[in-house]
Amino acid sequence: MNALILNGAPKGHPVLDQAAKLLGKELTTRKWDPVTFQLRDLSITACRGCFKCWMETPGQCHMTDDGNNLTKILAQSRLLVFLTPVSFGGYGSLLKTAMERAILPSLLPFMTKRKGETHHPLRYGHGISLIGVGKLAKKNPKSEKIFQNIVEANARNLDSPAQTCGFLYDDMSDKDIHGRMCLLAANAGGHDEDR
Amino acid sequence: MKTGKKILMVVGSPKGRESASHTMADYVVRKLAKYSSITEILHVSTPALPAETKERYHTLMDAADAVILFFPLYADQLPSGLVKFLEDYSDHRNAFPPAQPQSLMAVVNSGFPEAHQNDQAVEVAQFFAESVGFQWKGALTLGGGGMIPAKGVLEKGGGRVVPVVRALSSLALCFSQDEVIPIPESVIEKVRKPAIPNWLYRFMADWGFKAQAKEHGMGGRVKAQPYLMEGSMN
Repeated sequence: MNALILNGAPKGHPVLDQAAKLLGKELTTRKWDPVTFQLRDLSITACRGCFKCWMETPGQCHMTDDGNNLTKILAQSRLLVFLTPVSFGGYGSLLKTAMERAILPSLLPFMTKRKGETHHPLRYGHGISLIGVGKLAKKNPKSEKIFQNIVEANARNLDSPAQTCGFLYDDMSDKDIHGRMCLLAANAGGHDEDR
Repeated sequence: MKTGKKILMVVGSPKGRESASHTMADYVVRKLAKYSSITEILHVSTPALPAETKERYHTLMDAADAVILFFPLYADQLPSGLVKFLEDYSDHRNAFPPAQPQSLMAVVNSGFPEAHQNDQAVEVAQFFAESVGFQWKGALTLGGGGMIPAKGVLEKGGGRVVPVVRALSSLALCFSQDEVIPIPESVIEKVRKPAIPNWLYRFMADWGFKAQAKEHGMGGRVKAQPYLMEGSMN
């Protein structure tokens, strides 16, 4: 089963680049087929909120750049991984731009109630598990709590069968990063029977 | 009383001037005419702002007594254009610390009926304020953003926007004294309550989407799955 990894590290974030590599390897050993995108190398225009992907070209953005490829791989995946520097507790702008383009066409315009909240139904009918990896200069409980809440909210929107998040810091060794990625990959399950 | 404060509205909607966020900012500008001599609306619709626009916006932010962020909830957070603007402004601010005390507020609207879905985005806005040295003065969080007119004048939205108009009027009052006062909790709480029942909002939204689909000649094709993997079950 496919896993889509979006690495939202701008240049100069070696910890995230290393984490993306190690997580990809770890997911492979767990029988996922990861596809990793280094977002800084792609051309993705920000979503304009026109909703043509709902009403005029359903499921596809009308802008012809790398964004539609993300939507395509996401449609064929059961696991989505976000890696990003943490911006004021939220996702960095590189990841945020890409996720808006990937996710919006993957939803239907209508509204449905899930777990007591209103959400959009999923265009492809299946939930997508979610791993969020945030990178900070150093430990920051307040920032991490906000980030965790956002990952949980995204998971509710994606009807994720499993969701987890973890944090990386600038001074982490490769061994520490590897340990953390193993833990996250182990918690990404939920589709063993499908794989 | 004219306080002469410089108050900036930063609109983060990707839809720019044709957005509920702009309509609400425009309403606050008109209300503030009573209290403040300088108001301006800045649009950060995209992460790719031209360098000269960014520079001008940073200068205006530096000089403002207060900034109000108006934005729609986008995938549970701030839209990407606004995220990038705050990131860049934070970098700028490290080099040019503020010369005077400044305040920050936010007005967040979600297309879903539940106002609480905005809460993480408000936490991000507050964290930004505290990180770069603005005094946080609170946020209005609105559900049912689809009911707010995206064009024209907010008040023309009729009875369903009355609670929003009242809340924004109260927000404008926060600037009527020499010192900016925080948005009262009672105002924040009141505007979180849905103007119509959630089931009715969902029903009306779905009806609207179906009408739009018909208008575009789409009908059932709005549920198309263009990227369904060959041979896969959905």
